Amino acid sequence: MSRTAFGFLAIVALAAIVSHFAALYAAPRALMAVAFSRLAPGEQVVNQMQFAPRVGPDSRAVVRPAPDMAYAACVFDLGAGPVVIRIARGGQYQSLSVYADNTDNVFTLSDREMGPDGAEMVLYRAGSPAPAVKDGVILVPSPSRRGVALDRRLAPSVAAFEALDPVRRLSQCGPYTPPA
Amino acid sequence: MKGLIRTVIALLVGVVLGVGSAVLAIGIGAQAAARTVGGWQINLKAGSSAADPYTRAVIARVGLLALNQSEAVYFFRDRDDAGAPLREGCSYRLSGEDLPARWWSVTLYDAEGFLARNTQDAHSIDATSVVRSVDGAYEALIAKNRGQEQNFLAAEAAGQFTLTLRMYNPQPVVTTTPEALVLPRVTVISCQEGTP
Repeated sequence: MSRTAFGFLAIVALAAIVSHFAALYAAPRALMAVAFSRLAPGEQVVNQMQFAPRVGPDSRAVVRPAPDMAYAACVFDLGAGPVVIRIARGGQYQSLSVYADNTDNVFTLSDREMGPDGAEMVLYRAGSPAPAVKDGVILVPSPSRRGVALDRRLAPSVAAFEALDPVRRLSQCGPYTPPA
Repeated sequence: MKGLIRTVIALLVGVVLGVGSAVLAIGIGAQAAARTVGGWQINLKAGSSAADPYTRAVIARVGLLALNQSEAVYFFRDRDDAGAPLREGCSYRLSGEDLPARWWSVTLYDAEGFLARNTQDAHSIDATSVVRSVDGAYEALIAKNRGQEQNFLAAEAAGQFTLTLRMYNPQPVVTTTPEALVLPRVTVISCQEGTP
């Protein structure tokens, strides 16, 4: 093999390896970025709970939405500090899941683990000091600055959704202020 | 100049090969990670915290924002029991029994993975509302129109569609030995020729 051909193949191999792993790295993050932009259109709704209407044919933010669930989502950004999420208890089934920007489901709290009033959790960047919290508040380290917390509640009919809606709207997401 | 052109061509060929092989690996990985039980595909990696870039990319493709398997398990199918693609132009009988989970549902999605654009509000049947016979079994019609059926999934405007079976808070058998589950069957009743 000539030196020119060897050099050509070496460049091809190097570019293939780098782009192969770059594509694998980028694919989940690109899908999550799309999900972020659809769940929280505009920076002004980051770190705020967004309450999705009842799932129907026009629900196209994320594939395979469950029409039996009432969803609320908080796209969070920990760049300015920890974020607190308060979940009001309500619904036959309920869970709160936290996803990192690479799609990893890093935390899930089921209703079986919540108190009668729900739950309060504080998200902070993994690797940074955990913020001070009151007793009973759950600390959730996030491996990424951005992510999404998804609240699911069973609401398999219009009547169930409407009955549940006022309760789920008590849930909150916002910047965290440690206790004095 | 020739050397520069050769380098650019080599880089382009490498990028095409690299990205193409990544796309192929993700597709093959999704297939390889899935198990088939009674005509349904189950991927227990959906919703998990991925360990490697291949697994993570596969999860992003098959189960974005899915719950982990202790909270929910998802089954998919795009074919009937005879192996033919599910399509709007046919009507089907979905038959099954209650499943070992706190709650379950079967949802019909169009080819893009969203609820079909119709106004029948019959995209899903679930454990709280399905009408059962005295032995606990149930049957549901999958078709364009409900007719007189109590249990119904609307295929109107769905084209070639898929079904997703969800089990929330599944019992351990669901993840340890899914092959032991009796999952809903999907049999053809009739088909209209020339329809999607």
